[in-house]
Amino acid sequence: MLAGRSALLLLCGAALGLGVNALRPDGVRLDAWRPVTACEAPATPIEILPPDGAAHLCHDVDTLVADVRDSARFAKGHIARALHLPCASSGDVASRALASMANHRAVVVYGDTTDEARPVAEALQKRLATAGKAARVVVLDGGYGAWDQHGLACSKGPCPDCAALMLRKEIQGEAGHERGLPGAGPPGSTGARFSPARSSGKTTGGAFVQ
Amino acid sequence: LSSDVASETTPPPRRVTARGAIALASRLVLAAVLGVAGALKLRDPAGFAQEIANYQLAPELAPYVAAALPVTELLIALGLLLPLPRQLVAWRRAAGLAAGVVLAAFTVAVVSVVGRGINIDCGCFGAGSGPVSGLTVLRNLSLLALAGAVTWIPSARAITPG
Repeated sequence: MLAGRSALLLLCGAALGLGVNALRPDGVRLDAWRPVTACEAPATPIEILPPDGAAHLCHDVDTLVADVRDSARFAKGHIARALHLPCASSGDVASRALASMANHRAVVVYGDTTDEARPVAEALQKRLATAGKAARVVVLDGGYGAWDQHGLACSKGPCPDCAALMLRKEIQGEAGHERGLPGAGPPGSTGARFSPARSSGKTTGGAFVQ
Repeated sequence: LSSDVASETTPPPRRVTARGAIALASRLVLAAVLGVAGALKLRDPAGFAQEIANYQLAPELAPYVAAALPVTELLIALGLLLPLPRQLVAWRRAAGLAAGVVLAAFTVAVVSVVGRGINIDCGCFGAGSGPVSGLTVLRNLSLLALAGAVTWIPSARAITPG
């Protein structure tokens, strides 16, 4: 009886609340409401690095690279070891990305342009600061295009995805058409060294192509 | 005979016990907290929806919870505060149990946030409620204890001699 009364009270409260909300001009729109995404977070000043500077930073295994472009552009080519963190990511995805950044000292964020990456970088910087993380967040000046033109790639540190891709290509007998494959690098190479690769007729200087 | 009739018709004098006083105090504190929390949340439902989404538990439900919860809290506070006739006192205990259910859900949410190490605003009293922390968990547990007292300890009105 007590539980039934409590349930009735809660149901009445919820129904009344939804009714009041529907009547309020400033009520939350149940069908159209969306949480604020990483791109919509308040902006804070952010450090911009040219491709050479970002590449220098990328040689540090404690650096994480985040690609904010959409899936299609990411699939065409992205910086080696880049984490895909598109602008439309939900707060949940952004939080998971933040968790993966916990052990990194720096995060390089890039898009097709500087302005495309800046909002995500600013939001990441703010959230990292809120979480008490001291990671340095920078934006790649000129975006992926500038990186591509400089023929740059992160050539140090682990890159499991890249290694898996190369292994797959070797199995498919395509490895001989690529330069800079694992085993072809200098002594001491980690097997994750990449040089310009060609895919579907497009040269992607220093980029890891899926 | 007349004294016997008088003893049957005259209600016995009320005796406020320590347990009754605890129940009364718990009821008033709980009603005040839920009333204030509900009223503050009601001011900015969209902002409150964002606060709920930040908990990352079921963000798609955030607008529904944001719309329903503040009024529910106010209704529970009213149920705890209103002077009710003896026949309806059971509804007060029901309000206490409902408060316990709501507070238990809050507690699960804040413990989850603390456990996952997420740094977000509590949203417990609308915007600017401060971050979720161990203190938030403690506060919720204390309020849960008050809800338990309201639900399970008989009120001062219900305690009569004999």
